Amino acid sequence: MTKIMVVDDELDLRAMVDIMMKNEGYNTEMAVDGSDFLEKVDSFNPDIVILDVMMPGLETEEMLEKLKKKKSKSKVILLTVVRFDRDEKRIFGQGNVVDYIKKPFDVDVLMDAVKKHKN
Amino acid sequence: MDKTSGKDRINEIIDTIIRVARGDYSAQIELSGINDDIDSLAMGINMMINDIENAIIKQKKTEAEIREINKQLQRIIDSSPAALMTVDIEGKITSWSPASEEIFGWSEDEVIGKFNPTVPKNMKTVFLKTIKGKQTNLELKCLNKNDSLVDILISTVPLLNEKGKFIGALGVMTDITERKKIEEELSIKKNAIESSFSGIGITDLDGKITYVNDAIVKMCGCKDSNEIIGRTLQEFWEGERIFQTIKNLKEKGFDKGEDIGKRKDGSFFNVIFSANIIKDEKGKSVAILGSFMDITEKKKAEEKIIKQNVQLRKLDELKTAFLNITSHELRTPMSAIKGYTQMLLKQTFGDINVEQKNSLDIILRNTNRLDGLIQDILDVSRLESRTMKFIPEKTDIKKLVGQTTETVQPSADRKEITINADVEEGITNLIVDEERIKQVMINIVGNAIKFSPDGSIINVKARKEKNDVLFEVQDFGRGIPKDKLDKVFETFYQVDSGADRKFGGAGLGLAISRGIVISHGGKIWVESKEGNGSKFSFTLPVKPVKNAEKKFKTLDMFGLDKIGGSRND
Repeated sequence: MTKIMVVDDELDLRAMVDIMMKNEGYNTEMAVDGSDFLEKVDSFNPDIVILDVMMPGLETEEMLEKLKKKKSKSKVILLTVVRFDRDEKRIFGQGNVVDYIKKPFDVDVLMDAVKKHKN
Repeated sequence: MDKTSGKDRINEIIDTIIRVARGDYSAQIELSGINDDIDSLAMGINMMINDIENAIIKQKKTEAEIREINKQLQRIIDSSPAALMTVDIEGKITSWSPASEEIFGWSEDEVIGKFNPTVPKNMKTVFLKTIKGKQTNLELKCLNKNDSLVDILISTVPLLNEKGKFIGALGVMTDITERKKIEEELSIKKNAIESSFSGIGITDLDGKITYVNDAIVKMCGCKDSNEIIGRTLQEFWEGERIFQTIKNLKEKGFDKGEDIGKRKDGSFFNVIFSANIIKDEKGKSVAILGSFMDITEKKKAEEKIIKQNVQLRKLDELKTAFLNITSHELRTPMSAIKGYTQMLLKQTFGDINVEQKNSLDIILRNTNRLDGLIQDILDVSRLESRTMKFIPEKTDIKKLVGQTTETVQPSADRKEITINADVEEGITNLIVDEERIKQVMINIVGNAIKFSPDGSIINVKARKEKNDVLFEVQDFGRGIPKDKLDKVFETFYQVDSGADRKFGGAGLGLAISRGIVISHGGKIWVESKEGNGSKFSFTLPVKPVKNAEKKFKTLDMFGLDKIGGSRND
């Protein structure tokens, strides 16, 4: 079963994505911030990580760097409110990032992205 | 003849006198040798004849000499490089040198025997008085043949005959028109320096002040240049820069800069200056020229503006930060509202009835509208603070237009509006922020749909024009009144405040579009006839601009600056 990890500091959004994913039959795990994510990521070993860029605490870039160091095969979908230019995309893209979705997003857009990248 | 006959002897005397009277001064009376009274008379007459002869010879010699002198004088006059003329007692020309012709234009033949034509009418009396007077030098304005005035320096010498009687005058004339002109020019220059708003001063090589104009007198708080002249530059110079100036003058011959000057009362003033070494004709340094401008007031004003600018920038940054944070904060709950509404609509949580579906549709539509508004406000704030990020990419125009029509197709379909897209074949790719330009296109075409009647058509065209690509969106809606054409690109502007309710929108779309187009180095404008539709056009340069976000002026967002607002600007 596809494993999805949702990393978002906002409870309501986390719960929302959780419902969406579960509704599609995916196995989910939640993380409230960067360090929580890094703690859980090894044991849960998600196929896809849905990661909110604007989180307090650990910088997204740092998180992605650590994920890369772990040689994790998890694919990362970034939820963002800003546009990334080519340089920024390159920096993020060096690791596990496979997609960018702008907030607020359509449910279908996120679902399609997950479907596209789950295997 | 009987030499003893008294009668004969008397007759001979009479004959001789008659001969003398006729001009024969060789005539002599032969003496009888009687030694009487008649002989005495004859001797006396003979002596008289000799005296007359001698006197006449002498006179003839003098006359010859005078003739010779006159000839020489004429030769002098004829060959003199100086302009010479002689006049008689009545002021009539008696001789006229070629150089005079050169100055005045008249030839000798034209003036000889005539009253001196160089004398202007109002000067006749003065002239006649002058030639009868002593030797003089005069500067006069004389007439030439062209009836214009020339400046002449004339030296006159009275001419006397051998008896010391005044018979006329000799004039030596010099054309000083050129000299006068130079003098006048010098005088103008002097006055210019004297009255210049810039302070101008001259010092000797030791820095001792030799000249200052009025502006410097004022600058130094003095009343008269005498309070400054003779003193040293250092007495009126507070700043340290003077040592650098001295060094630069020595090494390079000039210097310029800004420093602090000192007034007579000891107060200071800000001054900008330039200084350079003045050389004489032989190239020897002789003095230092300084030019000064009191910028105290300007400096104060500048400092004030700088302070205000810093405050304004801070305020601006604060506003931008506030808007950014607000927008981010607004979009997180928006994501939740949108997501949950969509899940409800997808019946994730169970079946919903028609009323519930309609209600959720309304919630979703308004959420999207609110999100659009937040995005627009964020865009305006970014354009305003010049922090909008542009990501230039190679952009296929045909694709761009295609994606635009695809995006707006659902709203066009609702009104049964036909969109005709016409992109020039083989049109060049542009290096632009594709997403932003698409935003402009969608905005303009979206507006066109909004203001078009049902079932009408909209023409979207793109073609190359000179160094730009020109985009045109033509609708056949109600058009825009002429007096409002300029305003449609202003922030928060609504053509008709009533239309706002009917058509929605905060009036930010065109202002943002304008900001994006101008940031790309393009122009945007609208042509419209009320009741006859509108044509919105914009250009994008084929050659991409650098530092796009810096190109856009802050004031533009408020419509205060019309540059780029219409094509005729």
